[in-house]
Amino acid sequence: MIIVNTETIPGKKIIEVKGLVQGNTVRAKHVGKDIAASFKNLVGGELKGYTELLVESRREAVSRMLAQAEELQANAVVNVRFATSSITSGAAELYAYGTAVVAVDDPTQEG
Amino acid sequence: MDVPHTSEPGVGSLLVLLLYIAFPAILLFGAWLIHWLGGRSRRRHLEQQEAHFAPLIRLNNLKSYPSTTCRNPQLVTGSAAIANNYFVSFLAGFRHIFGGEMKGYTQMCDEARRLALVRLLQEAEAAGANAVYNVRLETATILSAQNKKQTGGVELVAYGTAVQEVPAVE
Repeated sequence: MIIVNTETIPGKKIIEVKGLVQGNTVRAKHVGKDIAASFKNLVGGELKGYTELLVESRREAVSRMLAQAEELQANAVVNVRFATSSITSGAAELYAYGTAVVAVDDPTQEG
Repeated sequence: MDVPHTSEPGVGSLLVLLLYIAFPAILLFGAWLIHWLGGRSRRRHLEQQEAHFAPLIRLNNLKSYPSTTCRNPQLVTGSAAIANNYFVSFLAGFRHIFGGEMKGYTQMCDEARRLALVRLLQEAEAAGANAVYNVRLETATILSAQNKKQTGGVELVAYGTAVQEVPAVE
């Protein structure tokens, strides 16, 4: 599966558009990490727990989006976007969405 | 009734002094020290990383590819969550009264953005890319979703399409 956040795929030609696919997730860390984060607010610096949380959420959202794309029998997702919302504090809410397409090798673009 | 503990005037006021002045003052000084030392080492790390990647990988936010040949497109991401500092938010409180730039917050946002981009570059390097197209930055609100007034920090997700660019042959 090719995932890009541009409208075209270099070296490939899009022959069929399957439609919008999306995945979302709301994830939280255990309370210990939240307490550690509130202490970190005193001294500043990186919140490692929350960076990890962002990475996990993003992977989860993307994998859900890919599952949808596979169901549609697409082989690529183009124009992928991430969006965030704020439902509750201490949790990361991420949406990933894109367009599932079928792409084939394009000999005219391949140098 | 004679209460021996409260009869001493010094103890109560000393406790108040300790609670309301000395303790925040120590906290503020500690926070400033950590901000100064930590910020310096973080910026040095960022500068090192940026200098390392600058000749290797080009970033841009173009939505389409120029006529040069690009191979192996792949989505790359990087994220960073940076907390603010007690000292910085204390100074920012004064800025609310007088107006002007909140330099501490500007610096915090700058650090978060650079760190997210450095991590994106690390992922792009692992993918063997020499260019990243359509780089986008998205902010999340993990810390301060409910309490909007209190700035907890910055959480950033950077993403883009990493490609191996082959220079055009004449």
